[in-house]
Amino acid sequence: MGRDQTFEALLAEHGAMLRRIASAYEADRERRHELQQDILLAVWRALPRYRGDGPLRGFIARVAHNRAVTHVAREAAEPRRQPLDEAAPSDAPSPQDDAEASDARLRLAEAVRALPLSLRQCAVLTMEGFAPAEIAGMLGLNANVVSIRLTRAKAALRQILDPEIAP
Amino acid sequence: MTDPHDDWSDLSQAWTEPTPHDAEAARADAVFIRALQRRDRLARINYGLELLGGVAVVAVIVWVALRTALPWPVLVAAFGFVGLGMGMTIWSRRGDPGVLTGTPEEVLRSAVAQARTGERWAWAGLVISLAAGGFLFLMSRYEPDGASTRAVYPTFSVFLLLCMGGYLVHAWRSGRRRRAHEATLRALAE
Repeated sequence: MGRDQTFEALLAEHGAMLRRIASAYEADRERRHELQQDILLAVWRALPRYRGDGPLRGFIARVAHNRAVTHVAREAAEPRRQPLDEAAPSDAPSPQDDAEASDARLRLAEAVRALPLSLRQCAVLTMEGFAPAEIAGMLGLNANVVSIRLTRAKAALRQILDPEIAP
Repeated sequence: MTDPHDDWSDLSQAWTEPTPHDAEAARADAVFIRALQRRDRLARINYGLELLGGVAVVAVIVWVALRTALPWPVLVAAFGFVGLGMGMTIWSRRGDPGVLTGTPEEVLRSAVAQARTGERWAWAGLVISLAAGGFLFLMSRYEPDGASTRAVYPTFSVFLLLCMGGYLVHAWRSGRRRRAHEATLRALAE
């Protein structure tokens, strides 16, 4: 299977995760599309470096997060156009029957974007199903630091979302 | 029993729940894939063409030098210009980090290096354009019959000026991007 075919198969399986990661870092729809494209490019370029020394899903999540971090860095240093929270509602053209679910997702995404970068990374990776030890490896952190950040992230999310989603 | 503060299952479920727009987004991803594959190939082709162009110009200079009595200052200037152009092309691509498989801090350092590569490419282009201007001036001095190529020199001069403007803009934008990443890197370290 060629590199392009491998990538397309990978994307069919993990594309949704990459889109969610992009949504955790960018609220504006147009800029999020740009970020998604940049993430895809980053994953495509990184794929030949994958040596099978861990789950492929973790590898692409790490690459996606890293690309998102550089995006946040750029936006933080050079804010463009409108503030992020004003752009969030523009992303909600969902049908009536799943409006409630979409609203919950949008609120969660908005809450995640409100987290400080260090907490956000840990929170998103946890919600994507990665264990603290895996996250520690991805971010180059101590597992204890990840646990502490997760506790803080959970508290921050609960404060933002309470009482609808967080327990 | 799981500490409710450590239980992310509800949030995880809400976060990963499929959306009605997934199919549409997957189609958009396919467009993205084709676009990025095209971009990557174009970048490689562009690099190859720049190097091949240099080799072709050297071949033309040698061919002309063997057939005519080319004044030696022109010959030296021509080889010097081609050498500079090829050197700058290779130098401008040096240090492209390419992949993002490290930690966030490593990635930010890579982003700084990438922006610096963009800056270098622009400055290299500017230097090449200036050298081309000098070469053009020299050629105009040694042109035996100025009438036949009278329109060529002003046209190329305007083209070079436009190129220099473009390179300056690119250098400014790359520099701004590099400084932004350096500022974030400092913020992460604090």
